[in-house]
Amino acid sequence: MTGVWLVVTAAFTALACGIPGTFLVLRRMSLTGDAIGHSVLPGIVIGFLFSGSLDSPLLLAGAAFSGWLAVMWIEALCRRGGVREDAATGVVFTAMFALGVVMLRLVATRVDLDPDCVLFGNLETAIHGAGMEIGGTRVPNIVLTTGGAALLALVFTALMYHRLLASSFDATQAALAGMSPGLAQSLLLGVTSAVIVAAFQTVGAVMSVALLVLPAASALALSRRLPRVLLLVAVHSAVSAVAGIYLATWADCNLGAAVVLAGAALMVATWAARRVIPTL
Amino acid sequence: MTDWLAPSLASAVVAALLLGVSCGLLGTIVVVRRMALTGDMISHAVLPGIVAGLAWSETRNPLVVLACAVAAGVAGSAAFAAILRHTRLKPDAALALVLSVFFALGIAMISRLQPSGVQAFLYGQVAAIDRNDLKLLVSAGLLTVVAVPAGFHLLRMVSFDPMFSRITGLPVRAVETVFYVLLTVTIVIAMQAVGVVLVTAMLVTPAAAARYFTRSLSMMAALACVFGAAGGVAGVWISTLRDALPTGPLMALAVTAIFALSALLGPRHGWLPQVLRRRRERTRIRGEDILKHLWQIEENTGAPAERTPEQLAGVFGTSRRALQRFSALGLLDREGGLVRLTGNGHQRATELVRAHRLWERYLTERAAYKTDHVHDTAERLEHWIDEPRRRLLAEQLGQPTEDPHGSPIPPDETEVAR
Repeated sequence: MTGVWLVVTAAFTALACGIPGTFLVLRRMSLTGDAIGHSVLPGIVIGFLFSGSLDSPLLLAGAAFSGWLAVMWIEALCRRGGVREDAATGVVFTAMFALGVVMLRLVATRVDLDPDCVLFGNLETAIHGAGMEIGGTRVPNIVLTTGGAALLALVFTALMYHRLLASSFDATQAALAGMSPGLAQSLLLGVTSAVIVAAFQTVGAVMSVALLVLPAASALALSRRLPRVLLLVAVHSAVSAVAGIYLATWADCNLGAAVVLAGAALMVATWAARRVIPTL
Repeated sequence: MTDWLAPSLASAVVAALLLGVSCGLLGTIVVVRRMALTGDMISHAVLPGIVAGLAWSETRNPLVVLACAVAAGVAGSAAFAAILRHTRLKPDAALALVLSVFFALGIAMISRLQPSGVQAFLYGQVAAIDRNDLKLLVSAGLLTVVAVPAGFHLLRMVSFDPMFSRITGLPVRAVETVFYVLLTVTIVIAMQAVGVVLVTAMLVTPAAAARYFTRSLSMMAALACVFGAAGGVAGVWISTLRDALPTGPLMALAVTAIFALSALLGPRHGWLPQVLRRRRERTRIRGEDILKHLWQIEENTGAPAERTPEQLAGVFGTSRRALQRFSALGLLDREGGLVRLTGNGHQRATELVRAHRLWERYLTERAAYKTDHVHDTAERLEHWIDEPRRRLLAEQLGQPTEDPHGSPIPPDETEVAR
């Protein structure tokens, strides 16, 4: 049973990250995703302090808030402070991350929050964590969390599809059509923060960036139409989850890292295949 | 206080100082070349190399680790270039891909090989820096401190105008290679102090803070060194105050605090100087409006105008600061509670009216404005046109004597005096 849950969790995590990640890649905001990935840490620690559990919605709220705060701070530095975007991103995400680590160390003696999950999560331990009975089988909480995140990403995309599409490719046209691209972008960044929280326990802050960017990076090799790209993102997520489990078992290494490496191999293979067969 | 004399702490302080200086120097170049996130990519990309080096060298020989790390950093840069060349992906996605996938490779290798000493690179442990590391740090720091200023002129040329440098026969390739290798070495050493993620803070934040003070690259580099060293030492000091305080993140937070202060107070684009400058400009414009107001009353009535501050406040709102400043400048006279123009004030008001009416004339004649639409634009612009420009406007318009509404345009007073 554990094996199934591992695959399901990995696939849910990859899917949850891959969908908002596609829009980030299309908007050339991959590095904003990276910045959010690091900046959610203080929010997670605060949420954890108040709720005492890693599955609480308070964590989501805290993380979404600190992710949003980081993006606002970067924008303020760029627009009013005369700092270039790359430098502003570097200053802000490291500051938020450092703050989170200090807070984590200060409270780590009192609460049971593993500092390792900051850099690389641990899927195996997460699976064996708390769970609940649903229809006679024990479902680990992490499956529900990542499943919820994937569902959130799907529902968000379904509801906002046209706004996201329009604002990703032509923000001016979207604004003229009354689609408020600013709102679409803010919501996208909020959803990104939320899925990163779910990915934190399974793959950690840095590798969640890989899950954001990788599926879109290989899907864009095969199609230029958004619905097909999103479908391919889902396929990539599922395939890399299954392949990652096999890789982790074979090489006896961290599962999250294996999922990312399998995804990377898949991406390289996709672009290579495209070069060999240009009509693909 | 005796804690400061403890050898481990002393070496931590020395390490923080050296790191601050070499990161500040290289970070300046990194920031002006807009490659802050390239630095971030390198710091993640070296991880597989570090793990390989640690696993390979039983004795944890720093030179072996460093060589492997540099090799991994080069591989990361090559992967970045390959993604850009062979796919349609944009630089942001390529950076994110390289940094996260190389990091994942490093994590996979850590979980497989379990090398000792890798914790220091992941989370940073200044205390774990031993004699060997310190020797390496000192030599790398000295190399940076000598090489960067010595090659500063060359590095600046190559950084700002690579095309021109290549044409003039400068060794662009060699300079770039040396720079990248120095950067990677510094990143690897800094990682042991602050951890993989926060290297970017030591590299970018002091230099970004220094930009708030100066435009000159060499001044910026010097300031960045000072900020980096100060932040590093402050971080080490704060971490001694309580147990369980991690040094690396505190160093990062200390440089961020310096950055925040610079963003508030720095003379270039800093928040407070900007607010003050804007307030000064507002006061000047208010004062000039008052001068013009008094001048126009005199034009209409033919007699020098006197108004109480309350009457002026009725027109402009409370203008205490403007009145104070303009009387201090000798443009307004406030004897006996009445505000009137001084001789200098009168001349300044004439210039303003001249600018206003010339500009109205220009807008109607040259920019096809309706005569009833020109006032507001001219009202704003009159404060920014100096005498050479007023003269230019007058020449272009053929020395007009009346504005579009039929009011006379005052002549150039300096011209009259001549």
